[in-house]
Amino acid sequence: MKKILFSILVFVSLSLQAEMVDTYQFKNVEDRTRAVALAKSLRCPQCQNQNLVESNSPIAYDLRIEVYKMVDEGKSNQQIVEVMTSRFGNFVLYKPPFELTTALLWCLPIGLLLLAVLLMVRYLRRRSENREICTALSERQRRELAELLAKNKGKK
Amino acid sequence: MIPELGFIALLIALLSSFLLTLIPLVGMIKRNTNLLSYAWNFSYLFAIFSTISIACLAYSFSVNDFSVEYVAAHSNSQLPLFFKIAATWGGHEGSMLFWLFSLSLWTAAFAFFSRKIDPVFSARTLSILGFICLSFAIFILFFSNPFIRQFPLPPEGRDLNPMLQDIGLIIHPPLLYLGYVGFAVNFAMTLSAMLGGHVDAAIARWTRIWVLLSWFFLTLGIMLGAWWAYYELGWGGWWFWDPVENASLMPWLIGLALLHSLIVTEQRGIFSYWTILFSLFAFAFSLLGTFIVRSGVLTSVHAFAVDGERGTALLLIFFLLTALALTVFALKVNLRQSAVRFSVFSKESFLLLANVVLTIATVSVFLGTFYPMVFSAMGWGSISVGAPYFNSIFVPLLLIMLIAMVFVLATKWQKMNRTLLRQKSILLIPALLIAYLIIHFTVRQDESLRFHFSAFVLLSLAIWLLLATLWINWRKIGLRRSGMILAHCGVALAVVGAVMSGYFGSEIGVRLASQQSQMLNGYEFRYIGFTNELGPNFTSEKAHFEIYKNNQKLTALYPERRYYEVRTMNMSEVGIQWGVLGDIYIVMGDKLAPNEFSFRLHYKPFIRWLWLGGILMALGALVAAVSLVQRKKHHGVFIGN
Amino acid sequence: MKRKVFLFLPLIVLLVICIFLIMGLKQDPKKIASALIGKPVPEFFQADLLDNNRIISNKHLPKQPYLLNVWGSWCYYCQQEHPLLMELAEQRIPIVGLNYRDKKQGALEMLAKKGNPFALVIDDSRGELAMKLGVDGAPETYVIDENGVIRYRYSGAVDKTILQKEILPEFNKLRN
Repeated sequence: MKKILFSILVFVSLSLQAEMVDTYQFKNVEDRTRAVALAKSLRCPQCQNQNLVESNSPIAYDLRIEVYKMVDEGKSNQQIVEVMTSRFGNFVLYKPPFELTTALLWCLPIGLLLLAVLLMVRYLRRRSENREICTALSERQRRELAELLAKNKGKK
Repeated sequence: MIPELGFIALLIALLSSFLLTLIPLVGMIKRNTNLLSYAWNFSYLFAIFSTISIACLAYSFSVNDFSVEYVAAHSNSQLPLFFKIAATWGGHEGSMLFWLFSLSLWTAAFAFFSRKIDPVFSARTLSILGFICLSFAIFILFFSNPFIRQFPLPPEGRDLNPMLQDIGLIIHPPLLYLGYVGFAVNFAMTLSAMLGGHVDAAIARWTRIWVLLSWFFLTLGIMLGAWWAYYELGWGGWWFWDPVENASLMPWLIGLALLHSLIVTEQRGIFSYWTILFSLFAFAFSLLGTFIVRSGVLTSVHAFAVDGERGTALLLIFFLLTALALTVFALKVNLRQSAVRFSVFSKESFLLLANVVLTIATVSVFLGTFYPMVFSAMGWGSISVGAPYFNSIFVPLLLIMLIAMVFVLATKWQKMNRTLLRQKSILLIPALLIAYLIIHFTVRQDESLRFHFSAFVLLSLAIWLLLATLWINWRKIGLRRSGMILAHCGVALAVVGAVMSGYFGSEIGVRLASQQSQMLNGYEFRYIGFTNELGPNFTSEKAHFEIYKNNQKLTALYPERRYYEVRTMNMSEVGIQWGVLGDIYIVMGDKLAPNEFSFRLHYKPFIRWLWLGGILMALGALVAAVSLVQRKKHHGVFIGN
Repeated sequence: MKRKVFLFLPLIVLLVICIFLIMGLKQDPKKIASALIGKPVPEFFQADLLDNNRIISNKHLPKQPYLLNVWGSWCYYCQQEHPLLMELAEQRIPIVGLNYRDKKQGALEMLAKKGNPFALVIDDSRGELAMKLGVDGAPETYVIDENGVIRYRYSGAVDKTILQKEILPEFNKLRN
């Protein structure tokens, strides 16, 4: 219960400040696009589940401005990401880096796709080579069917 | 008095769901058909009393009965009546009651429409549905009772969360629940069919109607949620890969796979493994979704209350029902393989491919949603999985999916048809051209936009799908195929909307004093001034914008910032100018000086196509369901055993 | 027979998933692991809250194990845990305060009214040092060793049990 209250209080104190639209002036449009895209791929560490651009919390605002400044200084995306992860860890990255601990996350979808394609090829080959056994009825089945049909007609 | 009445109704509903589970079961064991017929009575009884129960809660809201804890927490006497009624499902307890209520509606509907079919099968299905009802009724009674009174009586309610005070969000949860819960029907039917020892084409056709209806509601619910996020949250986005959104996406994807798998089972008598598993998992994922949303195990923007006890109880329900179903599957499923033959280039193969893609998509959503939790449970630290991860998985999957969809149209059952294949393949050429031109003209509007190859590929494929779907013999189209055509056009349009707005939207944050203006995407946004307004339970600042293109006034927009006193929350109301080719979208930010605000301006190309596509998909499902019902009337398909 | 076993696969997957979900239910998703454990306190130059003309930097930090507490007078739970910090100060445990995104007036008033448990109070009204530390909200408590390396972090309000079970053991490990 305490935790809930805590989060509510944090939320209230933050939402009082509401929509923080930043009006940072970039040198050129390339920088602006890159900075906004980068800030959108970083998670606000204080918020529920929002990126730096969407969040209205002061910490997101500060971090966002810091990202913008670093872009303005000409730092590469990788350098900026390194600065961010050195403080908050990989938690701030919405796209987790490929490591041993995230291998499952990245490999399972790809592995499943490969496996599925493999199984499908096998399955389809079997299905398409599956000759003549199925479609035609055997002599006995045909006789039985005819009998059944005749019976049915008689009923009506 | 009324809340107590609601509580008693809930108790009676619980009792009737218990009897609904038990009596047909006894009837089956004792082979007594008389007992079986009680299933129908108890289904209706359950529906009637859960309706009374939720009606009592709604009534308590309408008369401001703040002695009920739940009402006091989610309503306020100043709240408009419409929102008061909607607040019934605005919080945890009420939405769980709504869950039960929609489950009762589906159960009653199934009971009503299954009067004439095989009584043993139907009674068994109703008994299984009764068991699901019973578990949720118990959950509500013990863990989330909305009728609890409180003393002393608070003078005023805490108000409904302002974010929820919107027409879009009032209809969104009920639609979503109707969709989620609807999958319970085909879950029960499949389980019942397996217990009966046969899953065949007739059952496939019969379940398909129910799946189509659930999927119809789920699609509408998701679309409405996305639309709401777009115009209410003020971020210009519509899908955020948040756990709560993913919770609804998983059953949607599986439901979609189930629909197509059912068609193959019905037409060709194959894929029944897939069909059964999809059928069971569609509902299992709905249960899992309820667990995600209501337990708070995952951090979400939606910020529902965290409650471990409820989480454990919901997890138990999820586990119990799913484990039961999968055990029946393992023990009862028929191992005989039908010896149907088809070529590699046939409808069967590409439907299979589409279902494989949908399955992998679901697994990826599941993995991405729960990985952060597993990661910290393993003691590896904290991690986030968000939009960039999901996009990098979904873009290639969508690509394969679109190709598979075109090829399903370009092939026939069983064997390859060269002329049809050639005819549809040629359409790729105009599609590439159109896609290139669209992107070219969009990029020219704003210097910050660049040509994206992946966007070009996706857009071409979507247009290809649209052309291939529309390039048919229109005279031959009856009701039967028009559902499919509508839905597939819907997919194509939605992809166009998503790709264009996702890759080629432009936005800028600016500080504007009155009469200043800003250019974006060839439009001039001129800020005129602002006024103070007073709403029923909020105060607001409303800005006045005029939009010009080539010095010609197009329209005026009024973005707004509202302050809700009771919840001390600020909300921004976006100013949107809708357009076929794109939306102009203004968000109002902080006041920086007298008559000077910060604003975020957006241009969202083709975003409208996304909503249109979603509506077409849902409509397609509805039309397909109607055509199935009609065909059933003509042929009287279902024959009991 | 082999195929029969195959049919149980979905059930087994479900079991594994449920085990993970139960494990997950016991966790608080809002607790974020700190990235600075085992790393030195970042370099900083901030004003002293009590004497704004004095600039505090890393060299002013205690040369023995100490606690670093992130607080603000605006934060309800910081006020709740304040008496506990006072007790710790009486036990001669050095605490460095980091006044986080606060108004100077309010912070000074709170210290005057409730007592000052801090050996040193860093004025971080703009959250600069906090950002370098990876602070995601107040209150937060760090355990730092004599070389200025961060050993432990607790995010959220400290109460008696957490203090006895988590923070003090970490701290005493450094003292011995």
